Amino acid sequence: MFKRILIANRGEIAVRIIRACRELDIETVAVYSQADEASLHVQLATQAVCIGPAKAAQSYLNQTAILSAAVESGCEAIHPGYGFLSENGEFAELCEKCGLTFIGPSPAVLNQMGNKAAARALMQQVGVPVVPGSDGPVKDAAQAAVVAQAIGYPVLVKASAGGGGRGMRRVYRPEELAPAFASAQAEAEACFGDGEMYLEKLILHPRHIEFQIMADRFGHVVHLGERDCSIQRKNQKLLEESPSKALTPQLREQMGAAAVAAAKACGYEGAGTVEFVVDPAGNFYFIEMNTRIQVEHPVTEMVTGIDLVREQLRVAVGLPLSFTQAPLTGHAIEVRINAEDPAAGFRPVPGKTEFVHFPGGNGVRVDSALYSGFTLSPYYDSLAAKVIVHAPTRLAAIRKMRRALEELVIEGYPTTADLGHLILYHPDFLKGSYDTGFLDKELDTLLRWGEECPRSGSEEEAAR
Amino acid sequence: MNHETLIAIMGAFDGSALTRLEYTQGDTRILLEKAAVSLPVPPAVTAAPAAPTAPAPEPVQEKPAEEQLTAPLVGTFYVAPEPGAPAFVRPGDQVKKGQTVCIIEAMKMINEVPAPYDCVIERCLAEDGALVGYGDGLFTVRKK
Repeated sequence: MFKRILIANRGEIAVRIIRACRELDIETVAVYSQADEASLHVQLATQAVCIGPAKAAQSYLNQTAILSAAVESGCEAIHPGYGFLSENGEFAELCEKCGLTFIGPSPAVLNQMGNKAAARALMQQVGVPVVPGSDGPVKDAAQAAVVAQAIGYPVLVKASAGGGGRGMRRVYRPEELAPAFASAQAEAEACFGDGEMYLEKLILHPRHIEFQIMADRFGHVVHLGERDCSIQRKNQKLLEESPSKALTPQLREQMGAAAVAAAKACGYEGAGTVEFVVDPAGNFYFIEMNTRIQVEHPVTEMVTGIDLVREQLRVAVGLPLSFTQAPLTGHAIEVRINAEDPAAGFRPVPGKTEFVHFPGGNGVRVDSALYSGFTLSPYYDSLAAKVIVHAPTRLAAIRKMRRALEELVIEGYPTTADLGHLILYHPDFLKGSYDTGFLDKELDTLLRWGEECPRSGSEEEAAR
Repeated sequence: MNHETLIAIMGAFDGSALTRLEYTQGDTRILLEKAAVSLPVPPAVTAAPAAPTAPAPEPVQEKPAEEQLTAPLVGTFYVAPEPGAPAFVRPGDQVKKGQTVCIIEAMKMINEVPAPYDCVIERCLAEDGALVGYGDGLFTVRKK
C-alpha cells in the first residue's frame, strides 16, 4: 500500500480521503490556499503545504505547485478528489512523468471520456444505447439544422468539452437553432477553450439515473447500483437516493450491464460513474461518464457497505477489487447542505460558522469539513455538509432524514437545509414520481411552505 | 457599624485605587491602609515593556520596518547554490533589490529567489533542504 499520498483538493472530500488513508496507515500531505489555512483537512493531514493564494487558478488548479509539493514531500501518489484537476488528462500525464501515481483512470481514458462526442461514439460502437443525436461533432449551424431535422425537435446543442451544464442550449423550434448554436459555441470557447459542438435529442421529463462502477487492473469491472439524482436546481444536484423508484429489477440489470460495458470499452480503472437519462417510457440512454469519485458517493457506500475511496486506493496501488458483486440493501438518501440563501435566489452566503451541530445515530452519516468557528470562504463552492441516511425501507429513510435535518444546526449563514427538509414532505417525492424538472417547477411551492411553517420549537410542539 | 457594612467597606477599598481610608463616626474609627501597588494607570509616565503574561496578538517582531521575505512558490529551500558552497546571504548582510537570497528547487528546476527591495538580512527562518509552501517565511529582513 502507498506510504504517503498528496490530496489535491479541499473541503469535505479532502477530509474523506484523509480518513480513508488513515485507516490504511497512509501518511497524507494536504495542500491548501492561503484562504484555507484554518481548514479541517489541513489539520487532519500528516503534513500540509500552502500552494498559493486564494484563487483556485493559482492554488488548487496550480499543477506546478501541486506536483512540486508532492515530489518534494516524498509522495507516491496524488488523489485528485472531484472537480479541480480530477478529470484533467494533462495533469494525469504530468503525474506519470513525475513518477507519481494519479489515483484515477489513465490520461488516455480521461481525454477520451472527457470529450462527450467521442464518448458517445465509443458507446455506440459497443452497443450501449445513446440519446439519438449527431454522429460525432457538427461543424456549423447549417449541419446542425440537418441533423436536428433528422432526429426531430426538441434538440440539445452541446459542447464536446462541456460540463456543469455549460455550453448547452435547448432548441424547441427550427428558427431558434442558429442563434442557440452560436451562443452555445461562444460559451464553450469561453469556458472550455474548445468550441466543438454536437447535437442530442432533448428527452423531455427525464430522470437522471447514474450507475457507480469500480474497475481494477485485472479487468474486473463491477457496478454498485444506481443513484437517482433527478432532484436538481439549475442542473445542480440537491438530493440523491438509491435505489431508484424509476427502475424495475429488469431495467436495473440492463442498465448495470450497459454501465459495465461502457467501463470495459474504454479500459477504465478506478471509480467511475456512468450517467443515463431514463424517459417516461422506461427507455434509457447513455449521457456521459464521470471519470472521478463523485460528491454523492456516500449514497452508494451506504446501500452496498463498500468503502469506495478505499477501493480507489487499492486499485491504484495494483490490488484487485475486494468484492465481486455489490447487491443493494435497504435505502439511502443524501441531502446536500449548501451555504446559499433560498430566499435570495440561492445567492452563496459564505461566512463564519458560529455554531454547528451534526445529527447522528443509527444509519446517519455526515460528511463535512465544517466546525464551529470555521469561516467559509467565497472562493470555492458553497457545499457546507452532506447528510446521508440509510434505513431498511425508503419510507424509513425519508423519516430518518427528516429527523436528521431537524437535528442539524448550522448557524452563521442561511443554508438549503430547510429546503431539503421540505422536499421530504412533497407528495411527488414521497411517491417517487419526480423527474429533473421537479425542483424547478415546485421550488416556489416549497419555499412558500417554508415561510408558512412555524419557526419556534414551541409552536411546532403545539402544531403536532 | 455592623459586620456586614465593615466587610462591604473593606471590599470596596480593596478593589479601588485608594491606598488609605479613614472613617470616623462617633466612637467608631476605621483606618484601612494598603501598600502602594503599581497598577497600570491610564496616564502612564513610562512606557513599560510589553508584559510577558498576555500573549501578544501582534507578530513577535516589534522593531519598526521589520519584514519577512516569503516563498513565491512551493519547493525545497536551499541557502546555497550547491552543497558545500557558501550561503547566498548571512545575517547582517546588506542586499540590493534583485539580488539572489536563496534558491527553491521545484520539479528538478532551480528557481532563484530575488530580494524584492534593498534590505538587511536579520535571520533565516526556513530550514536548509526543507519543503516550503507558498507564502512561508524565508528570512526576516529590515528594509532600508
